[in-house]
Amino acid sequence: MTSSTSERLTSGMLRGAVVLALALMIGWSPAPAAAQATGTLVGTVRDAATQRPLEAVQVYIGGTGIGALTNAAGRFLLLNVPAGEHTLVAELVGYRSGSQTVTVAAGQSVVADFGLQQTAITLDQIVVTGAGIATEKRKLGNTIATLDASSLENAPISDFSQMIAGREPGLVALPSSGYTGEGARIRIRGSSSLSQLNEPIIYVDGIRVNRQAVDGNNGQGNPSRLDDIPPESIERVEILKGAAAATLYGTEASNGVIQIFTKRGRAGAPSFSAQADWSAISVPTNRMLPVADYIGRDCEEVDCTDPGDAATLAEIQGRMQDRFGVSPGPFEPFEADLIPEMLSTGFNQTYSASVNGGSDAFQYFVSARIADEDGPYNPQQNFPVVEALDVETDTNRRAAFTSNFTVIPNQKIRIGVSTLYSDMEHHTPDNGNNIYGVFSSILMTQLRRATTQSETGEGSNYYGNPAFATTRENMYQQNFVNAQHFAGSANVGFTPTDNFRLDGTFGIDFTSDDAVAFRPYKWALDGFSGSTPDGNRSVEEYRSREITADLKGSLISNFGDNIENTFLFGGQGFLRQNQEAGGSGSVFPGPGLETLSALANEGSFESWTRVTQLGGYLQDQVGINDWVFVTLGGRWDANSAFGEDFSTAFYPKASISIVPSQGLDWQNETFSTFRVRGAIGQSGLQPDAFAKFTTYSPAPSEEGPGVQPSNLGNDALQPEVSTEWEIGAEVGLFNDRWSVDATYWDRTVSDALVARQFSVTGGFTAEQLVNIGELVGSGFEVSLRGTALQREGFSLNVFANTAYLSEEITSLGGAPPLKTGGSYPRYRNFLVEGYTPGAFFGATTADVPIPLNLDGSCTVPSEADALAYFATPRSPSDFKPLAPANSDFGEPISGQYSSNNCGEGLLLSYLGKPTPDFAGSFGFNMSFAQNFELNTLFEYKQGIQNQDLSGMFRRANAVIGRNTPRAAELGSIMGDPTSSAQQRLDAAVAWANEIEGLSPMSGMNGVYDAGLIRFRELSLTYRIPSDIVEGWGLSTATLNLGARNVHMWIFGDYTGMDPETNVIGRCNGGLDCNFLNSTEGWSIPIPRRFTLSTRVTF
Amino acid sequence: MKNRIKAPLTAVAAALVLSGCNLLDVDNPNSLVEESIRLEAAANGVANGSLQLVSNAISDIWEGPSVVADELDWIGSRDAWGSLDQGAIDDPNNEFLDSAFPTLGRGVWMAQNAVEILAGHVAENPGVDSFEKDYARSLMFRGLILMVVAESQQDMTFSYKMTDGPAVSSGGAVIGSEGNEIPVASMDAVMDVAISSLVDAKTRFAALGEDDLELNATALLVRAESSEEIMGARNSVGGALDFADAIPYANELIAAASGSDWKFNLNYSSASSGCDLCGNISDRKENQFDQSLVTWDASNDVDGIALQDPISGGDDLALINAMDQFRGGSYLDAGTAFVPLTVTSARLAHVVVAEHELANGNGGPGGAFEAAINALRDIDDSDAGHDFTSGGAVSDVEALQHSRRVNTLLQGLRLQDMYRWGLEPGSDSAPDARWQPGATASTSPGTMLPITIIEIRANCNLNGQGCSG
Repeated sequence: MTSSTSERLTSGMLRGAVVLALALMIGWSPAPAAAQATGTLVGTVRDAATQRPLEAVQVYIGGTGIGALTNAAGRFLLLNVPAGEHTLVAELVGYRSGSQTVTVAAGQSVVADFGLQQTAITLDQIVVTGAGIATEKRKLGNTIATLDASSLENAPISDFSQMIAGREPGLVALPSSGYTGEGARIRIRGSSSLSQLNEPIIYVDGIRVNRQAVDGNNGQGNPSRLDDIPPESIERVEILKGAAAATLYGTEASNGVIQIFTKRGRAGAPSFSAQADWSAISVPTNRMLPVADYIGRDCEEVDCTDPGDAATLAEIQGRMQDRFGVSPGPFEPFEADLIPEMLSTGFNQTYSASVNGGSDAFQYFVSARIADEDGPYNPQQNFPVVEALDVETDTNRRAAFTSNFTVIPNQKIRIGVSTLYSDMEHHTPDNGNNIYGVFSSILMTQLRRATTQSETGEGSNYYGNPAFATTRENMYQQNFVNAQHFAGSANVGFTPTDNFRLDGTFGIDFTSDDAVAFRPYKWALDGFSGSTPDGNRSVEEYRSREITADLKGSLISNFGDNIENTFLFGGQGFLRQNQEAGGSGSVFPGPGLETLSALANEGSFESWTRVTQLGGYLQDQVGINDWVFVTLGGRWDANSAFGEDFSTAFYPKASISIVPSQGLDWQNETFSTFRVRGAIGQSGLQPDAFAKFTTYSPAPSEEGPGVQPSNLGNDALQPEVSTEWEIGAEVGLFNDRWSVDATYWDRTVSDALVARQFSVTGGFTAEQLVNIGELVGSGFEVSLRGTALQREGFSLNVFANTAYLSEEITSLGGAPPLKTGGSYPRYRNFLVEGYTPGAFFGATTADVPIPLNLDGSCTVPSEADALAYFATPRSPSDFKPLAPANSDFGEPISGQYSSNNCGEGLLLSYLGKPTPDFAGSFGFNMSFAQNFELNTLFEYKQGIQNQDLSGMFRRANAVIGRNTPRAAELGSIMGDPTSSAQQRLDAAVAWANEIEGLSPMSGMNGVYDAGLIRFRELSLTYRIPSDIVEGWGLSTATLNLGARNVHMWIFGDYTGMDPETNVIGRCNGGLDCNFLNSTEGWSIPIPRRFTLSTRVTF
Repeated sequence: MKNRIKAPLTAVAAALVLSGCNLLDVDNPNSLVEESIRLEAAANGVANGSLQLVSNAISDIWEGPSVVADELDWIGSRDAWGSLDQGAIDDPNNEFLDSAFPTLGRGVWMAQNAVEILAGHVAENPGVDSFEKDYARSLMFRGLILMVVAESQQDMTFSYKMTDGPAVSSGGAVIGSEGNEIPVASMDAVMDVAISSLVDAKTRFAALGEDDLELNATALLVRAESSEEIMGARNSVGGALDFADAIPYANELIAAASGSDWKFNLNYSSASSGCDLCGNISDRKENQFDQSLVTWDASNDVDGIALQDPISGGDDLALINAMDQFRGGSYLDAGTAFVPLTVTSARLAHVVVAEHELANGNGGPGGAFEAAINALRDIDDSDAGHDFTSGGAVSDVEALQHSRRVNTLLQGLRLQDMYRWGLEPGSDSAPDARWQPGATASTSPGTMLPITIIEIRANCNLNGQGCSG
């Protein structure tokens, strides 16, 4: 026995064992042997240009029901083919279908290979979402995007959010920050609600799943539930972008619908796939400004003693020499590049495997994935180990298991069972807008306070933290969450006749999060922080259960030869229940105790909500001559959020699709395909449970349990209604080698739910939802793709897309403007009538020669007065800039200035908007040298402003900032007794124009143009030739080198490190989650990832 | 075949219809609805809720004036505290004033709502002590919060749910729901309502034999009556005030306290809530005891006493007593948010009596003023060496001002005292810790807290939209 034979035998035994195990699991027995009057068809399907084997090609014999999908090696096997002549067809999305005539002899095996030509237009692609039943795209008047997972198998993606980011115009995935495991917010066509969660609803294999962030963690962005779904288990994703397409999903569908279809088994012998990925993760540091300082700052104030005091100077110089190797004189700026010291190269390893196979009567697909990532945050490398305390890490470990079983007991019944189980452990340091954040603490350091390192900790301030806690102390705060996710569904399809079908789907989605934030006993080992020095702990347990019951039927009728009518009806029920409980407290009695029950001060909480939604729909589609399609439909919904008195909401839809190139005598090779379409439809969003009722919540007092006003209540509350229409066209060019897809859409959200702030002295201080707003949006989406060059063994496919977005709040119904962040003045995104949701408002520096408020009068000083003022050293705290005064969110008041303590107007100039005019992506796919493939993806945004909040702090804050090189330079000039009055004045003017910000001048010098292009993905794939891999007992083997976030070009004057990070990351609703956008705050920039992957099938 | 299709469809449809009603009727176990809090069974919870919200409001609203005054210095990251430190007291956009105002508004509303609900229960259940007691407690809590409003706010609105109330300064303001309106044409009138509530509460506690609660009401009346006089004096610099209306209550309290350090405290704990003012000083360290009071180390932690007792020449025991309370132990400790806030005390009664005596010409050696001051100082140290001797190096006025400062520390009273006595911070060297020349506290002494932007924008009487329709 040769070794290769042995390997094959081993492989075969393994396959047999798996098949047997699976068979035992569901009591399946192999199908009986085929009759003898049949033969076999085998073959390989390849890309005609690149000769790359094509997986998942549907190969079938027309009219027989005999068919199969190709495996990873492009191979197919059709058994029991009746002897005789047949037309064999091969179809795959993205390729022109191929066909050939084959003659099969009884007992013989016939080989039939295909080489398919790529096509850029996919009108015949079958979709399900929003259509009710499997329907060709060309029959639908609305846009529906399909993402074929097989086209991304070489892309450097590690989670679902990355999988969909940048693929489809109008859909954006907004990252959180550079910490490991943080999820992205998904937005489709901007925001369709002023108050409700703007995430699309998510379905997996027909059931609705949790679309929220994983609970807990003290900082910026939480992991996303969407990333529980392993990319390798996904077959395709269908995306409905708005109400016109999502009407049949009714209430909650205004933000669009994403439906994920997981991979299913294919009839045939077990086919295995295994993949391993190893990634290095590195944060770019090129936009991190060094920390700067100067000696003498503490003496800028009027009452300071002599800054040149010899003893003080010598003490500071000695420390600086020891710590940084410099000995600066008074008011002499010096720098240290400390921020990168927080970071090192992170590492990820991911392993996944799957098996699929089965018979005509039973198919299975089972996959598993394990991922382990230790991110780039690594401050402990700078400190000696402290045995008694654990340093928190940024790590994320996930394991996921999916399965799909399909049973076809007879031709009329098809049963599918799908499961997903995910388990995650996520650790992250304190981060984001948090005075105890580790990264934020080093952004806010002041060099002159730094000491040399003390191993014992006490008295050590290695980075010169001015307040709250030292960087080292912050490292020992723990934040972690354990999260599980199970989704299971069963689908039964019943087809009693060829033209009638019933489908029932029942499923449950269950998630569980256990989140802990924890400071151990004596965590503040430097003796600096006074916050809960004996520790604290917060525990939050969150359980969510969502049940889906869905029944639908379709009846297809033909009226003569020219008209086909498809009638669809259905009903759905959703039951969502959330339970939350936990506790928090402080003061452990001693080391080693880490439970709530050990705390001296401890409180607990519990809450529970349930929302029930019941809906039904009808739809009728008429197809005329198979090239004109008209669809009418409507959906009725009832929802428990409105109580029993509310009847139902009704959402209608209508659409038309015309494909002249199919119906007319169309012989134009240049314009080879042409379709026009239009759709209009409605959907809604309902508020959370109990929003309608006036309620009082618990308020325990020191003298016993009490109650307090909670929700103000609104009897008239109803769902807001999103009405959207869209028109579009698809054009296939040059025999469909190129395609252009263009859509214009327009949306009006009426009865928009506004979280209105009523008078706070009215008792109920929380905002109350009221149907008083109107939000309009419009835009267009254009995508272009095609084959630029194709020759033997080489092809170059390019793609580009863009989405233009315009949004405006046309009415808040008399409610006052809403501000993100409540009274916190540094968040400058507002909801104001006449502006884009989340528009920035704040102070700007007055455009005058000396924009300084030197005497509290809010008038522009004369140069003589200004020079007199700066005749003595000054601190930036001594004065404030002058800003143009505004009416409340209105026009500037001519000639009037405002500042701190003076001026009548408000500091509310319009500063920009946080959403781009244009966003999209472009890139190419190049196949060369037979077995190589190069893929790129670039994403861009244009017409967007960002607030560099951490930069504003670093520049302007008197206590924890003023540490950028420019701030140190200007501050030192102003404070230096040896400077001239003119030098100080010039520095002060520069300070006003470049540095000053934060309250009361919030917004000033902080909002900048931040258009960018990001080189998002680059991958080089080598497909090991089949003659080699077959020698290894494999079907295919590939090696892949991938890079993600390779480079970023910023085209505006933005000063921050990474405008794609946001101070609010993946979150679960509310004003900040929706509209606190494009505000960079204390984020680690999004890292580069370099990945080596290998994937084999056998 | 038609039947085969029809049957399951009918079954599903029937199931949906039959189950639909129940499915849509979802209970809310987290909250009470409006009708429920009006039930007699909820009476005690309503009174307790009033206490809790009043306690929250006071711990929020006192911090701003304390930073403007020379009680706290800003040391943290959020520069709106710095603006207050510089004397910008009237900025409606100041984030901390703006975040405290809703808490104050909610506390006032709940206090009034509790009085209205409990009044109904008392009327329908005459002679039921539990209702009487909760009603009297609610009256006391309303008196307390209205007293703080009158002391702290330059102006105020009183709204009811979605009905916006006008500013007191504009006339036509009322406290209470329809049918229970109490007109308040000025901030003095607000204080009058506070005082009448406290008198009513005191009377009812007495009738119930609730001596401790009655003493609480008495002590609050000491503060309310004296504050009302201070309110009239804070816009110009003057001398000692008579406090005639407060004196009977002060003497009653002093007698009941019989030399002890009796205090009326609002308490905070993990079971209820933290004290915002305390947490900002102790936990978050946004503000620190003023550098005119204490010395700081390099981390801005307190490491010593700066304000010495001018009479004894040593550390001031009353100051240490107050700061120790704030730290929940020693003033040098880190402290927590779970420490009590003193609203009124026997100490206050003593200084009120002392000032009354000074105002009535009873200063000087052996006078009633000296006796009152020494009765106060005996709380901390009854040794004769600790006593004040009038006519010495420390004048009577200095003794009064110092005694009032250290014995009412962080009780929301200092800023008004600074105004009426013409005192300004400025001797300390903390960043920005002095009133700027253009700041309102400098240019318009007597100015107290504004109605803030959250109320201005939401209230049709203030936002320029008008309230018609």
